Amino acid sequence: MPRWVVAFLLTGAILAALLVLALATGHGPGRHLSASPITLTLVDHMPDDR
Amino acid sequence: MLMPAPVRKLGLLAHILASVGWLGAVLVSLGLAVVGLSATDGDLVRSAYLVMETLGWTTLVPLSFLSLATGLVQALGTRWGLLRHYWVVVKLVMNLFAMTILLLYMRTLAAVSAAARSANGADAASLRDPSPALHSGAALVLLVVAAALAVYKPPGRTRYGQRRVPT
Repeated sequence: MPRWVVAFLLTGAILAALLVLALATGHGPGRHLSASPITLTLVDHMPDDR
Repeated sequence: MLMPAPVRKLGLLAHILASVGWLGAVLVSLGLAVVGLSATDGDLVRSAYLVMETLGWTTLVPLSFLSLATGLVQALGTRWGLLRHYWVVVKLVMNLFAMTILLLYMRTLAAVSAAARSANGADAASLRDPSPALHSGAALVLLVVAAALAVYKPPGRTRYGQRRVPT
């Protein structure tokens, strides 16, 4: 296997590890599947019924 | 089956146009994300996030599919093949990865856009989100690397490619 492919595989593995780390700490792709924090920010700005 | 030269050229033109168009749309997206992060006018920040979602569905997603489809045609209809050369395989994996992240990210963009739509009069700081800039920047790097692979075509055949008759 050429060296450049190994470099790509290593980079991919590091990115995958970072992704798993981000997921484990609640900053990963899980955010794509739920409401964004900005939505929560919006809720803070919404007028309440009082 | 190999395509005749005129068809191959036409396919290559379509693939280049789709891929460069995708790259351009990512650049626009990055520009809007930077506006979202840096503008002090709340309306401008809201507008940037609203346009980003529309840009995603009308340009980014269709061009990513077109880039994949034309790339597959180019690979399967030419001597390069889909799994014979490492650079083709790596490009294919990168394209699929980028498309998957893009489709997942469209949900986040929808949430960002919905928040911006409803946050009339909110100040810019409360709307800012670094995520679009991060994703657009990463997509830009990925697409530039993919373009470089297509131009330089670094050598190396896969095991499958080595078993095939050399071309």
